[in-house]
Amino acid sequence: MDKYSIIGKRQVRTDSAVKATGAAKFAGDFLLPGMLVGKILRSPLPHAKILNIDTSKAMKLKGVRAVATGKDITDVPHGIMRVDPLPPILRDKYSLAKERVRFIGDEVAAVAAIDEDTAMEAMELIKVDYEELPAVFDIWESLKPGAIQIHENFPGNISTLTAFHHGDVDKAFAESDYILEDKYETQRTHHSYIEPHAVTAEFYASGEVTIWPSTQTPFYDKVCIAETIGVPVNKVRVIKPHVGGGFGGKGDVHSLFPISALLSRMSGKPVQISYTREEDIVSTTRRHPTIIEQKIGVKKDGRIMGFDSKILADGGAYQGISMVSIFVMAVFQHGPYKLPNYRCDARRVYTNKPYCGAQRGHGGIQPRFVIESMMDIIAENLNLDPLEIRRINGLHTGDITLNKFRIRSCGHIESIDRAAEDIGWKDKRKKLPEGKGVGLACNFFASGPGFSYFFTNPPSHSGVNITAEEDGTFLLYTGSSDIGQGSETALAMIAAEAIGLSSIDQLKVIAADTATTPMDLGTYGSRLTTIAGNAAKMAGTKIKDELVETAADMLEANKEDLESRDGRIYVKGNPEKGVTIREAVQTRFQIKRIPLTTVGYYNPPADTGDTSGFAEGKVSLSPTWSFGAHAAEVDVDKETGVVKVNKVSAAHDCGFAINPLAVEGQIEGCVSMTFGQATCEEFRTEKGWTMTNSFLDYKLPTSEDMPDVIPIIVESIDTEGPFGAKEASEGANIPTIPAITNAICDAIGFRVRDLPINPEKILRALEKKGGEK
Amino acid sequence: MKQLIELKVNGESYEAAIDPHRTLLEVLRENVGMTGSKEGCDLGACGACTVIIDGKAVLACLTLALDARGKEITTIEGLAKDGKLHPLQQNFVDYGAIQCGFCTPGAIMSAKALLDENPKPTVAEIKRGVSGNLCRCTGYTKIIEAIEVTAK
Ligand code: FES
Ligand code: FES
Repeated sequence: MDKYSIIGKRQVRTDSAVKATGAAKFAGDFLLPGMLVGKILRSPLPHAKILNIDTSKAMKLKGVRAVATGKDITDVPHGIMRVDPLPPILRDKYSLAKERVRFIGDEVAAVAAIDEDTAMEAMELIKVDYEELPAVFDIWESLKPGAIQIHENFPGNISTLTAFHHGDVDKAFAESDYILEDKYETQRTHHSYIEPHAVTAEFYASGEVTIWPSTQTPFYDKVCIAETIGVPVNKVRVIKPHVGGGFGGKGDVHSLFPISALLSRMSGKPVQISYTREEDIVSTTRRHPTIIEQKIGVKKDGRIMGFDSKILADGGAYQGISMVSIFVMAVFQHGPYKLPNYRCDARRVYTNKPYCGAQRGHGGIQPRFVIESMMDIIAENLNLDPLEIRRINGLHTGDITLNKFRIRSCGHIESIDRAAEDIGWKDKRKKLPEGKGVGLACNFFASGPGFSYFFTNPPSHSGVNITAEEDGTFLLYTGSSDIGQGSETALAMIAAEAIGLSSIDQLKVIAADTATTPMDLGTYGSRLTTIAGNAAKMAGTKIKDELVETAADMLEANKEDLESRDGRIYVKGNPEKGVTIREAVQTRFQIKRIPLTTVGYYNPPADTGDTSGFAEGKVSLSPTWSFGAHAAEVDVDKETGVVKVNKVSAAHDCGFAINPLAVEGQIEGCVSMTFGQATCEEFRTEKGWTMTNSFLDYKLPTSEDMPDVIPIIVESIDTEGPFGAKEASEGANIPTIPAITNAICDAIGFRVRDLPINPEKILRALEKKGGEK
Repeated sequence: MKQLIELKVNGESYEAAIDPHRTLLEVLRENVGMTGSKEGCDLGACGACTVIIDGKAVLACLTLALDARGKEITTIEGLAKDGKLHPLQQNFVDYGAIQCGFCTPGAIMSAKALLDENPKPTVAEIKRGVSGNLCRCTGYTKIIEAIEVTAK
């Protein structure tokens, strides 16, 4: 018999059929009686004072029901970063600008009208008097003494700074046999979920509001909306509908959510705001572009002695969640290689451009591109195999990193071996004809943050309640947000396994409604499988324990001798003697008259939750860590400079694959996003204007562009994750870029140091080398 | 001035009073009340709004509702029959081709138009057939697999 009945098997998702028929409702699909269209007027200037806003003409237009400006919201700035004391000092933006605008696209006013045409016309009638201020678009300009200050309370235009030093890096370099210093640049990219941001809001005469936003973090939204429109938190109900992808871009509580609630209150009608693609690209967040100067010292045998990392990120006009972005770029360098000495100085600089935040692989992508490139250069110069240098420096199960990350399970070496084997490393590396090459890179990522961005004292990081129905089926309530990754199905599988059900059909998941489901912090940091999964496992196990007790009475057996599996509770070794779960539930209800509801919850263990050393890089960030390795094979056309990626063998250590079908899908999706960042995606601005403001200009990979992606699931069976599971949704997009650039180097001897790779860069490099390798 | 039009969607007639510049996508979603067809870009660049008109895959965001009068329009809502999923829908479900599901209606409609015209496409033809349907979640592997299996 298999070890498990439900988990570990390919499970079709619970929400797929409704999505396949077009019946699934997304935030922009609600059609409520009397509903108005909301539109947001945005700043046409990169930096300006708002002197006056005259909305009188717009208000008079037939069909306009409400016009809102910064005067209509409270003085609590907008955002999800809290950190005591209040008011939150890390928030520097309002849902609607109060006195100043700081990028082209900043929210200035909002309109609710009977249809889109009327709303658009009304926006033209709003007269805003601006006093234009000097703007800075370049981080070096922004850092110059005397540069215009974008936010008064952030001197020098430094929005965030993380600097720390573990061990003795100078001594480590003095003791190194070889030191490599190098510099890399990464570009801005946009999440480009196919569903643009949207929201439907309905404010009721009772003073309560319900909103349906395309979001990753309904519980943060709830508080942010309450704070912005000035109502008690319990009057705001956020219900997450189906969400058309997020990838970190829908976790930042964008302005449209509180604005929709405000417009609905002002008009007394439901209001829907659907961003156009242009609005979405311009006004939401994007991945931080960085300049990274890195120094690595090693012994002759390749052992790392010291790392010195200087990261400069262009943050754009606002803070968002950048404190976390900068911090994780600095600390995610602590794996998958053991660093005995590490120094980091990471800064984020304000400029008058659209601002940056989290994107899938948050904080891992940029430094990993640098480190994995440099590992290859070091290996080459020391005459070592690139795989070997990665193996000898690798972390192992049981290790604790310099900054106290606990490695509870580690599939680093198995990932390297399996990715290398799948790509045919032995026969191909340095052995393919000119223009063809293979490369490999590794990965390290958090399985959920160990701290809350927002709440000082959340009831728990994730709560799950399970209730039995009379017919022996169950309802599972979770606050967690499935935005397409398949977490609802995974939670159902975990809970069903824990209870001992025969199929997940016997358990219905009700999720992400802040009025009815227990709190969960949201979808970010690849946290749900580990964190909500543990809560689901606890709630399921408690149900099982209660039912086993009932069954023990029914069977006149010791509960220790009973097993619950495949829908039955029976005597171990004598499966004939047993009752069905349905019978156990019914007996409990009918004879004992005891309802059956259990509460499960999860908090990261105490050795991972201390945020006191945030700025010094001492936070033990995640309950557990994922590992992985990707190997890529490329063809470089020396005539055209075009790089064709033929194949990516993507090994990912997810601890244990609860649903292998979904884990494969996550790996494939991860690779496609960073394949895009490597080869075609670049968010560009000129003088603050977004040039890549549509899918014609911001190019995403299509079905014809993608390489063959081979997902390879590595299982290290974690001691903290539910049934051994760790994350699978972010770590797997981190090694793709350096795997590709390392392969390009193998093919033509050219080291890519800035992204994206494009034919011009390749041709220029080839020209420099006289076309020779 | 609004104009009264009649559209034939999934075999049924619908009347709507619309401004002449409204797109088929807007009218399907707002007037007909079928929100299965999605708007991802409104510019002909993402494929989320794909419907079938007289047998051909068409981008509803680039089609005026007026121009769709008198034609057979099939949307994602018209595929399942008697509570049973169309084989393409079933295979998208079974093969894990659906994650967030926002691209799914458009991708299935493109796939249907492809298979209706070319029942045994090669993998390259499948990739071409859905190359106008952007998907940010799946990396396309499982979408292509689901179409391939349906064609077998
Ligand atoms: S909405 Fe029609 S192609 Fe994107
Ligand atoms: S499934 Fe999300 S965009 Fe395709």
